[in-house]
Amino acid sequence: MISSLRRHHRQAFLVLAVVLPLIFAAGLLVRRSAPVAEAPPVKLPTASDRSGLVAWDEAGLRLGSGADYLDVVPTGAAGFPDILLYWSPGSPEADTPGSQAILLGPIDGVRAQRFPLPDFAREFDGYLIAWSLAHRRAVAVRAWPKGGLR
Amino acid sequence: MSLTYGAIGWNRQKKIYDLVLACGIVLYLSLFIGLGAWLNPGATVETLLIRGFGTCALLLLHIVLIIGPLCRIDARFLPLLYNRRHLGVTTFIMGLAHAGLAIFQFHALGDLNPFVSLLVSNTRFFSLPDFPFQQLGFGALVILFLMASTSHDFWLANLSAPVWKRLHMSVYAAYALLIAHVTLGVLQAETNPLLAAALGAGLASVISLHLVSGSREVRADSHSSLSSFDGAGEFVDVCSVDEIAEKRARIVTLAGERVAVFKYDGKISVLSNVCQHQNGPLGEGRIVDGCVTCPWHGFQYLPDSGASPPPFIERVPTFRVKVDGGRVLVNPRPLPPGTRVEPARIDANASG
Repeated sequence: MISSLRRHHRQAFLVLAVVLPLIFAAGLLVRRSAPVAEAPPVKLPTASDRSGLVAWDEAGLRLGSGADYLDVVPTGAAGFPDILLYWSPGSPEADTPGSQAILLGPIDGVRAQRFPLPDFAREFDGYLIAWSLAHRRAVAVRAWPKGGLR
Repeated sequence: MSLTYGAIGWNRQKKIYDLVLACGIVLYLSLFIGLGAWLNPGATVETLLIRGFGTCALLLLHIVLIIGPLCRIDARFLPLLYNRRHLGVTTFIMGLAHAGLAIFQFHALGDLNPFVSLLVSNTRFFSLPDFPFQQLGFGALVILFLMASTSHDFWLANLSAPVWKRLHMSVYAAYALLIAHVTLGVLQAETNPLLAAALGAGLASVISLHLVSGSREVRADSHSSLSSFDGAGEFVDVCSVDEIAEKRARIVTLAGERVAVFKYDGKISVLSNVCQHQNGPLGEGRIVDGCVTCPWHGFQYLPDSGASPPPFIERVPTFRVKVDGGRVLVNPRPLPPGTRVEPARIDANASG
């Protein structure tokens, strides 16, 4: 290569040698320990022990929450096979997820599931919405006070 | 080396290179999908394919990036460099397969255009663990597409090697985006330490090899940089005749650029060290069939004129040279590419 290209090449790699290890290390350090949606429902309350859960009967579901997670337990056979669970900031003025809604994950309706919550859910009032993609309508909507369900 | 543009100038070496590459990819994907299905029986075929193509592309990109410095450190790796562009295009194809399947699986079944969904479904740019890593991968794929689509010699010849090289140095931006894509994407959910260790090892290899080869280049340039003129102020004493092996060259730096001083058949000729094709180091090649032969892709030049033998049209600058008292003296002012210079005779001047 000509000398100017060799110089640019060296400069580029000096920058990468600093930046990339930082990105890599930062990415590993910020990993969350909370379970993800696909994790097995370890220690989740079962359908026979729902005393600590809040009913969300419109969707045939009961809800419980911690600091950064939401437990969803089906109470019976789900009427919809394709429910997507969203959290959205603001008040539930319309029965749609809205442009700021954050998808928490799909509800399979046959087992207890735990969903990680976005940071916003601890800081802002909002609402949960169970949305049927195929029917294009809300199955259930529930207000979400800042900090989680009580 | 070819006179006309063809889709691919196939030869035996390229066929072997591509055959090994194709077999390696088939073997890798088979192993990845087979082992993945065995270790994770719940994984779907789509997920295994997405991850198989993605990891294959990332592995190939690491190989692409370490070939250059490996060749600078040890010339035995030069055969890997010969068809590196096919390796790069294959990297793009693997990345495209990964992205296509991922966009279909995660974005094509909603009520938004899949590409719009890709770009707007996650805008949490200020949260590192929730960062929209898919956009990072998409950016890398766009860069790899630009590189793959301009990889042919047609673009190399028309853009000129320095411009083409500058364009293709954007592979480092693509690499940075992919490291962030993987770190902020799959490594946020997959906590198996082996995955992080594999990516860390790849990153360390690429960076350390480039830093080592770069520092060697700097040292070599500082040692070979010459500026002591002879009495008339026209020629620079670059080395002794005996320091150059027969049909080989000694590389020296004159006026900031490298030149190659070749010894052959009792003569000395001096050319620019920069091959016109891809700016390969001519001085690290040797004289084959009477022609200086670039070690990267075999482009050839006549040592006295710097011109490729007919019908080829490549040309590099030449330098006036003389031998005095067993010393090689070179005028540092480059002559126009292809200018014939009478070689300096060693025998006639050795006694000086």
